[in-house]
Amino acid sequence: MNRIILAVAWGGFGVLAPAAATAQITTEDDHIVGQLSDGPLPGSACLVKGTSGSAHFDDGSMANEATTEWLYVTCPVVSTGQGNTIGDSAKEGVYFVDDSPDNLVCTIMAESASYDLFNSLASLSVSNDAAVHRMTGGASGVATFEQGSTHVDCTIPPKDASGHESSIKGIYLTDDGYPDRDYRGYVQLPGTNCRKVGTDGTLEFASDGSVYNSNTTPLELDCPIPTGMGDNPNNVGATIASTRVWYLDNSGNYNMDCTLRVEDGTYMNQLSQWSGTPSTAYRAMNFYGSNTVAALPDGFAHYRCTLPGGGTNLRLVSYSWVLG
Amino acid sequence: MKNYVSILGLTVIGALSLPQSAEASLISLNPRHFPGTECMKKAGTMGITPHAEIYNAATASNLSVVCPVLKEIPTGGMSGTITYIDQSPNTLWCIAGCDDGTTFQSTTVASTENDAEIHTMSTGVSAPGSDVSFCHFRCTIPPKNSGKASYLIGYSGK
Repeated sequence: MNRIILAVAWGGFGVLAPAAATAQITTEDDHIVGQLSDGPLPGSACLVKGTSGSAHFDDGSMANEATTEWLYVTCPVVSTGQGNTIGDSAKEGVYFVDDSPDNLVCTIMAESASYDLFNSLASLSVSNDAAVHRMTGGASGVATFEQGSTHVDCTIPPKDASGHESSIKGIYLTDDGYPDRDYRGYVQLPGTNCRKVGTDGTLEFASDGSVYNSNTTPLELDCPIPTGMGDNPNNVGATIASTRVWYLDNSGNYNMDCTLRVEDGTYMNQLSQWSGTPSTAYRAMNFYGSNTVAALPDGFAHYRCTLPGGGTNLRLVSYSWVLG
Repeated sequence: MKNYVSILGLTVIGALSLPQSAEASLISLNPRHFPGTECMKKAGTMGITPHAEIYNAATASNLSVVCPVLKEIPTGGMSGTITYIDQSPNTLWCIAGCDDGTTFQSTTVASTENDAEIHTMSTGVSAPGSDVSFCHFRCTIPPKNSGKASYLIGYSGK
């Protein structure tokens, strides 16, 4: 299915939020009350796209230490998949330093899980100093999709003539509404957050936050899941039908398989699923209901997937998780 | 002062209904756990196990990784733990750091273990300020010792 794009102009200015009172979990204005699944991630969570530029992330931010080349990154956002707007509340935004006469550009992308649809907003920095600035989603925010994923793609300029670096300090975009009990413990991440395992296959990032294998040797991926099992120590996906890996399989000869693993270093619970017959539709492997996986207190969780080939016709679009 | 302009907004038509929920969730906060595979390699030779643990696959040089922390409350500092196996006489150590755009604060914590057991070390960083802060661990995993690797199994922070 082709993407349908309607271009509109957008503009907005604001100031960095002033220092607020001590964080209160009852501060509804900041979505903190519902802040149970998503949260801020530092720039070091961003993934480098291509070979241009030189990533430097020792201090937790993602900086470009190249002197002439631009650095292209895609930054996964941990979302709740609730379909609320992002970037429109206090403190939300892409935090960055643009210490270059060139511009730092970021695009907030909200992707649909089940359709090839998206909302996006691109912003251009014109600052040239060492201060931290913030790009927001504007007054209306960026609309997300239920069970959709979110990512921010940025272009970071090279060092200026004085050696000053530009960087992404971090991203805080929350689609966590209030109240949110039905979505308690839910997280959704784009496929770009998956890590390549081993040396076989060629991991490629698509513009929609999905990943695919451009090689004919199988690509193994590990997709880490942020969990807080102490929040709700019931089994995974026990009551909410949202523990899934969204994928596109129109490859013909290839199937993608994924295994959800919950483990604590001693015990491991797991469940495997695989993609079915080819289709142009976006579909999901389900790990809920009768496919429940038992939670482990203080455990870790991840999906382990294999993409044997298929190029862009076999894509891991996003993955989600919820404790029932 | 925020200092940027928007150059383009792109949108598609795809109306989906917003979820309707009825109850607030005011529950205790727990740290967010990530398996080791969330960490980014900075330098060295990183291996990944079927259990999403990462390890230093080298026999002589350290593995350095940066592990982004997903905080539950966007402001303030961070407390966290690192779960690991240290099978080396050398030290497995981590720096916990938080940056709120004005101040960067960090704390170093190190393992003194040298066995095949799973251990956890806790650390924390005081609040750099009251604005949104971004936190991470930067860890150094020692090389193999007589063929035995050291592992970062996972980490958590809140």
